[in-house]
Amino acid sequence: MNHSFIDEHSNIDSPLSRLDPRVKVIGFLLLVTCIALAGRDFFRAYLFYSIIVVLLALVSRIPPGHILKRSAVIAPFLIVMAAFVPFMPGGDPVLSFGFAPLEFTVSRTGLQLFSSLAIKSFLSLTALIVLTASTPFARLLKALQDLRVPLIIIMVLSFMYRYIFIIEDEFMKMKQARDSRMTRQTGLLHFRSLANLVGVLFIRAYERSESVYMAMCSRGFRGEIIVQQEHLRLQYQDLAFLALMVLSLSGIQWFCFYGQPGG
Amino acid sequence: MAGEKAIEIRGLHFSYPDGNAALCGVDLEVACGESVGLIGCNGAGKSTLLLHLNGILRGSTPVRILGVEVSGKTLPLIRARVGMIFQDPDNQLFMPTVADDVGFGPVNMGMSTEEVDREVARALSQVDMLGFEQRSPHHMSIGEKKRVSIATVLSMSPEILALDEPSSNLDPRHRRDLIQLLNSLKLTKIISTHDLDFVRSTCDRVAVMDKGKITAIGSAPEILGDQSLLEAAGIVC
Repeated sequence: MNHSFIDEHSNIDSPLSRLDPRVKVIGFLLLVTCIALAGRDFFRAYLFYSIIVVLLALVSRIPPGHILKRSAVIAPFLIVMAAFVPFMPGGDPVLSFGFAPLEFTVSRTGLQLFSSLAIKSFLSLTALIVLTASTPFARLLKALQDLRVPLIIIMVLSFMYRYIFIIEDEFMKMKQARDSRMTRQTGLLHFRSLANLVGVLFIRAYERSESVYMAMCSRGFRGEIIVQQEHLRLQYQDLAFLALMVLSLSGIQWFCFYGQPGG
Repeated sequence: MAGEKAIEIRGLHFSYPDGNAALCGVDLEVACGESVGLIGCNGAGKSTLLLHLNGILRGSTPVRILGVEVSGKTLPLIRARVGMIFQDPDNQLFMPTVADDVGFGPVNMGMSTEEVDREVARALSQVDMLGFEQRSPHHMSIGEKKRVSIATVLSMSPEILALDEPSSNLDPRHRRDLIQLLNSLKLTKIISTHDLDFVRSTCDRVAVMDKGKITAIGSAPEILGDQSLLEAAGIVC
């Protein structure tokens, strides 16, 4: 069975995919940090950040549909966040509903907070999607390893990348086997068999982990992950990318905080 | 080291923690350079026996590999000498890229980066998979995965290859390629399978396993030609 995978478009040759993965990780993290730290009423800053994200996405040559589809996963989180807006205190009331003592007020501050959170999370996520989609996953892991991310986290990510689709395959096959024998789809029965499937999937994943561990031990694994040093070398374009990123980000900071009267 | 025993097993018993007795007194000797097929029906104890060869499981009596007893102390040595290839290549290949996977054993053996790279290239060329270094196992065919699985142990320069059901899930062409590949590797081999044709094309000697015991052992033509023996062991019907 074939699935889409995390780094589906990482073989697209683009200025972004040619960059050193370490530089890319640092550059994108800087961008995400700046987006996260932007004040909630600086909507002008968000405009600039979105321009940067759009430019990066264009340079990466990744189909925009792919990026948008991926960033749609944020929708459920936004809905949950929106549910809490009426409970946010302070500010001028914009709308109120319900009756005392159960009266909910939607305030201007609350709305502002919500919209800035929504924009921030959408922009950060889109930036990270561009990063992960334009870098082969193994190279991304090597970069994180070089940047001194704890090995255990890298191993967890590495096993996740290796096995998530195999587990998905197993689930699909079990589901097909179940559906082939289900003549009627009544609600409760349906959910019960789905729950069984998930349970069996857990056991299978656990058993596979035992087999994988045996295979690791057979090849000399003794509980300690030994890493091989990679020889990644920085090129001019890597430094140029980082410089451009730092310059534009600090430019935006300066412009939004000091460049405007009363800003 | 002509005539030296590659594998020596005497009166080996093993029960799983749930009480299921998987091996009930196994005796087996394999000479260096020999290819031995281990045939038997499902649950006969073939895989369990293979897992004893590199100390993943340890039963009642110690197993001797190339004259060295398998014990906690000798495990690193034993695991470098016995290349174990599991049935499911998705368990054998657990790293994100082929190069990382083939290099996993050499890295654990403490080789330097240059040595590891050299061994990876050598092992991949032996199985004719050069150029796949940066591929992810998820996007390879089962035949390719099998070849890379073999490379993952060849990179450790083992003296014994232990293969569990190597021909399962392979189509006829990949199966034939695998037979050619195995015959080209001049190592001691022990192959567990119920694919009798596969045994015929790859093994000199054959041992029949049934209910945790080796019930017969002899040259491949002799054992494979004995219809009543194979029927008794439940391998043919």
